[in-house]
Amino acid sequence: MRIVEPVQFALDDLAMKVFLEAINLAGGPRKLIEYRRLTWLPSLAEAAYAVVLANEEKKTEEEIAAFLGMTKVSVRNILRANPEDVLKRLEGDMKGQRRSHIAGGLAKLAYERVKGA
Amino acid sequence: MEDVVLEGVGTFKELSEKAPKLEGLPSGVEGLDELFFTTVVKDGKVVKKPLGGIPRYSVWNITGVADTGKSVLAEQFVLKQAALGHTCIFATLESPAPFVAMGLKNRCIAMGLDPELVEEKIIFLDGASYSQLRTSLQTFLNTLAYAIRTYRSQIVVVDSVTGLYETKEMMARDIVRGVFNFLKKWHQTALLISQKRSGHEDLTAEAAGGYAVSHIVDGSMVLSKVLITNRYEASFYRKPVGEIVRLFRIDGCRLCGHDTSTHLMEITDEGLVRIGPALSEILSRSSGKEQ
Repeated sequence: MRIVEPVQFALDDLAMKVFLEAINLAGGPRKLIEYRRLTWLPSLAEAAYAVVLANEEKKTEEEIAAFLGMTKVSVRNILRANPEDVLKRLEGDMKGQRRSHIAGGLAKLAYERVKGA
Repeated sequence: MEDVVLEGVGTFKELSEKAPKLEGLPSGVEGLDELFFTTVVKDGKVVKKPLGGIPRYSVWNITGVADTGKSVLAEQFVLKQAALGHTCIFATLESPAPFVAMGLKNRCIAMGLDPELVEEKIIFLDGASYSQLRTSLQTFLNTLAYAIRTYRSQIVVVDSVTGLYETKEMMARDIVRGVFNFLKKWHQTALLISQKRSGHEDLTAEAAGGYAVSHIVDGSMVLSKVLITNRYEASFYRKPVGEIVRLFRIDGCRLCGHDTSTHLMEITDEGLVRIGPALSEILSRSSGKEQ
């Protein structure tokens, strides 16, 4: 009888790619230092995992929250963030902007870029 | 300029070059292959032509309450295909693979086939023993891709697809869409078995996760059972009160024409599924006798 061994999904590899792309979108590591935004990094890492788990693994908000040790509401904010709003905010256009989860928006944009590459 | 996906637009002529030929794969289930057909033009007239089995490259939802014969039907299909020389993948997400293999070997004997087929032609994905196959959709798809590539399979059975979203049925649509797209991309003919829930109507395509599975896949085969509780039913089905009668219906097929009536279905003493006459046929027979 032939039983196939599972071929594991490389979650960490993909989340890392999304994380690095999100840093690039935020202007790169030097800009994060210049603007005193290094504190964004943990949020970007969490958002990268959340976006990958939701899109690739079809995990629920509850499952993602349990995996990342966050609340369901935080996960929802990440997954509902509008990438365009976030980009405009980063470009300094604050007019009429709704509050959107910056790390979530960047991670979503980064995920699209990584998958499209 | 707005983003435009040019690859997603094409004329029928362009697309038809990639379209596969419509043909039937024998199911190994007596009475089932005759329920699929296509149409041809003969002497200027449109004529119905039997397809000879389940349309190749179609992805099916096989649904029904417990003990209606869903798994048996799928097992007969893979064994028939294995006997025809095709390698088949059996993804078991409920019962461990050695137990499924044991059942398949028995089924082989009942079908008059060599039980060695199970060793040689059936490749197992054991989600009952490797829980990652159930909890990680991408691990499941990666493993399936590996098996298809390595063993050049064109047939997949997932028993049951409900195992991928057992505790989160609100995700059924997303998960089934992912599995369906994957199977289409890899040109597989597949049977996805899905469980029914207590609130679902027996003879509808509704399954765990609502109508998600049936809306996404190419067609549904619905299996149900009826407990005979009165004289009228006993005389109609010609079974004593207290017996179970099984019913079968094809609920839509995107790829070809099909019989739309509800049929009697039987699980024989040897443990094989057999599709019987349509209920309308039974009614007309019994009315004829009365007259």
